[in-house]
Amino acid sequence: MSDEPGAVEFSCAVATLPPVEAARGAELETDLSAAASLAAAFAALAVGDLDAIGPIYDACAADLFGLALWRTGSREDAADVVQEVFVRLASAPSALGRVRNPRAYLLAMGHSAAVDVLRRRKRTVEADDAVLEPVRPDPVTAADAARASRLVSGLPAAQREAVYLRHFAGLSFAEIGGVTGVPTFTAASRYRLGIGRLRKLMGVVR
Amino acid sequence: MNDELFSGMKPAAAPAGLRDRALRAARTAAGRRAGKERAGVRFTRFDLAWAAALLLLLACHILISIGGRSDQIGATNGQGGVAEMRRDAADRELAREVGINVALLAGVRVPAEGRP
Repeated sequence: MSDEPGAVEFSCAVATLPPVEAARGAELETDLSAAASLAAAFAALAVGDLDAIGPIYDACAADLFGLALWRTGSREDAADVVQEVFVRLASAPSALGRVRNPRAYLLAMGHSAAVDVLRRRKRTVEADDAVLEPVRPDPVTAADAARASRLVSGLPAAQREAVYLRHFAGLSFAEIGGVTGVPTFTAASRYRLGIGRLRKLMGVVR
Repeated sequence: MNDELFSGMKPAAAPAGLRDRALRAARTAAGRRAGKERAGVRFTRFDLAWAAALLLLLACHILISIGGRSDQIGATNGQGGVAEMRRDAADRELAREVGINVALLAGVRVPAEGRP
């Protein structure tokens, strides 16, 4: 532990917090640490260190895959999107040094790549691979997840994407607007329409 | 947040082999970029397409400037086109000798021999 007065005061303040607040504090600290690691990996890749791609993948691939899967509805397309994002990252690394929010930047690339993939495929039949899976291998939850997946697949792609980014990636509406290239109000509206419809269909009373 | 809506569920996970596939593709792309840089090639396909379009435009401009407007291959529409269609070979010859474009004769009635 540091002997600096500020550090001692901070430790005391955390120790006196209620358990829930302390847990939120720890979560926030983890988020900040992850963001700092991602920014460091971006800086390393910007100067040509290709080994930095691995940590970037580990930090963001789950979010990227989820976003692409919820946008395209197809696991195959989502995998292509993730690959495309990393190809784009490696093809023009010099711009990465100026990126302020690496996670939002990657998600914006994912959104753009997903739109491109959908445009290229020109599907006549909407893909509807499962976008949700149960946390535990429990038959009841598995059935719920399968049903929820089907209902999510029935939403328009833009609403699905907004719900995913808000609910699972934890982005603010302003960040969702930045990622998907729409005003904050539109992002919030898409989320509320999507989540409202899902809640109604799933019979969840708020 | 609607924690109750998706309780017990999580987004579907990425396939196991995707990490290797994505990293391999990224390294290949980085290698290709490095190769281009070593060869001194700093432009992209977009740059090439842009340059080709400009060159084509410039070439067309030069060709038209040098050759002028052909009175053999006339306009296909508009007043000039109508004029060219109506002109016979003698009119076109006359226009060439005088040094004017035959399309400029649109609406002009050239007096013919034996005709007022």
